[in-house]
Amino acid sequence: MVPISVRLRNSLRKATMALSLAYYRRYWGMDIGEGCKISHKAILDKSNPGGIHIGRYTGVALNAVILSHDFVRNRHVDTWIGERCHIGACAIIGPGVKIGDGCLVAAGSVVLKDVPDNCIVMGNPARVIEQGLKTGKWGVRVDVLSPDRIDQNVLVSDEGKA
Amino acid sequence: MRAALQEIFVTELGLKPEDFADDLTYNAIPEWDSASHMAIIMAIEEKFGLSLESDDIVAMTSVRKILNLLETKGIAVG
Repeated sequence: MVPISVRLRNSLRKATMALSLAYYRRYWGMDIGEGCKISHKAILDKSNPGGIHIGRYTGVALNAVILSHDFVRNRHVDTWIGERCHIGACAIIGPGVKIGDGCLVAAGSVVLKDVPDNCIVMGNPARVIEQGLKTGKWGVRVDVLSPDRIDQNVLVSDEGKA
Repeated sequence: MRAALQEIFVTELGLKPEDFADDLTYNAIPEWDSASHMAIIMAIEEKFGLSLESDDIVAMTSVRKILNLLETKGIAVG
């Protein structure tokens, strides 16, 4: 039995998550796909909010920074993140970068170049260290876990249709 | 070079020296995951004075492939 305090906490988090996504989409006009989980502490560029594009079922962890403007060159650019990605804690996604579908950006990475689909990138500057991985929702890996350890909730039933 | 690589694997992954083998592959053992792969790459770059490209890093999926790659980079197999 889950304690009532935990259930309350979980439902509050769920509600504030929905509110925060609605705030990003409606108030700031960001293009954020369905089912995304964006930490309340993640930082999305407010200088050019229309330039942020995040695919569905992508997870953005705490203190990750997603930029869509280049201050020194005085320009606004579009930054694209695919679906089923995970942006790790404190990662920085540079302005104008395109990250493919099913990518994992390791914590603390600094991504300055485009990333192809289904890759892990890590480091500063970020480098691809593995290709051809398969992710479920929010970047949970479904290729390295044994089938009985995969949470069925992370599987995307209509993958590739969107 | 093989001994140097073995030393890197032992220190970075915490493997026993006798567990280091040519047919060891990435993701096949729990110790060798993506995070420790990066640690290995950093150690190799430092040890052999190289700078590895993304294509090289992606291709380094087994001990044998790492040895072959280092050989093509001009590091003698010892």
